[in-house]
Amino acid sequence: MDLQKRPLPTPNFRIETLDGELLLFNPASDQILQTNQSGALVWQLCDGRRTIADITAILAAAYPDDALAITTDVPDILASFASHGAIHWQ
Amino acid sequence: MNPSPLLIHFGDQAVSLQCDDLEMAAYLAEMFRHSLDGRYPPHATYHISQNDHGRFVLRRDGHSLQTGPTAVALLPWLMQDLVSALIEAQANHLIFHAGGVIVDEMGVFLGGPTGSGKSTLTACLLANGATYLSDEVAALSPGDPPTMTGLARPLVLKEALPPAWAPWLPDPTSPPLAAMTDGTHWILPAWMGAGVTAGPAPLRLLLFPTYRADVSLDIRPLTPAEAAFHLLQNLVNARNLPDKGVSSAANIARHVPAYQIAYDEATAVAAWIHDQSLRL
Repeated sequence: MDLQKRPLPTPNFRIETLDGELLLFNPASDQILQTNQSGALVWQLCDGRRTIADITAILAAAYPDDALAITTDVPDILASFASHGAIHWQ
Repeated sequence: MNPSPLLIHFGDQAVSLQCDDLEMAAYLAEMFRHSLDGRYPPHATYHISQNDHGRFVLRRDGHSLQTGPTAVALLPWLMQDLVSALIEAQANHLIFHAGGVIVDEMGVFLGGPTGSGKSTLTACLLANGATYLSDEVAALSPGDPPTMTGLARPLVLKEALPPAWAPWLPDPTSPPLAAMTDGTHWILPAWMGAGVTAGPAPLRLLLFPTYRADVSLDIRPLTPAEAAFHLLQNLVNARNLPDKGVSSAANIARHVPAYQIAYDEATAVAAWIHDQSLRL
């Protein structure tokens, strides 16, 4: 995955926050995506300006003990978001 | 003189059912005894009658759906179409593919697709003292706590050799265990000595059980987001609901503990549920 890509949430997604996790519903396709707390953090950092590398660096700095896992998890989470149409790339 | 039509009610919908065969009409009245309510106008009318050739005909709103040599041969088609008719236009409740029982005043939701073992597990729970709401269709209403109602039809158990449900029946070889032409067996819960109600019951436990042969009991707590996701996977009237039921499902998931269960012994699940009822 190109780490310089900038993920941007797809407009009009319905978002429910439950205990720090997210339920993302796309009314256009009826697709539903459920994320854990890590996915919720990644989602909140997707603004169309930050790159994948930026998001990974922010989370790795916030959770240094998990930095190694974060470098692989963030691209995987974003790939899942993209496959469900929850984000598109700037 | 033909028997009066039955007005069968579930959620905010009702259908009318009339059968000219007196014996079958009595069986249908017993079958849907807990779901009869004349307050709601029917939006579909079913009629089982005999034609000039001696065959029985199932009609919906005057249109033939199926014919058969006996009235009982038409029951699988009647049940399938009638359940669809009752749920397809529901707009005020969340309707799920789910069983529902009450254990020690605790409403227990058993979510899962057809074939996941809901009916067999429900039969086991009834044999262990639970009150029956439904083995297939449950309606949830958000609240604190949310409430659950059920379409209290007969239990529909699938054929198996040996039948997994046989140990829980008083006598699997005697009536009113009705063997249907589609290979299912229909059992009136009251015949098992179980209490029956259409609800509403306070919803205290969301379970998503799956039967797997040779798997020991595996119970995993679900987060509210996971529970809401599982609920939405089993929601059957999403298209009728604001935001496809997402916010209501999330509200229910926020209020009710949820678990995913894999099991090969239904009695172990029954014991676990009873233990939960003591904790709650």
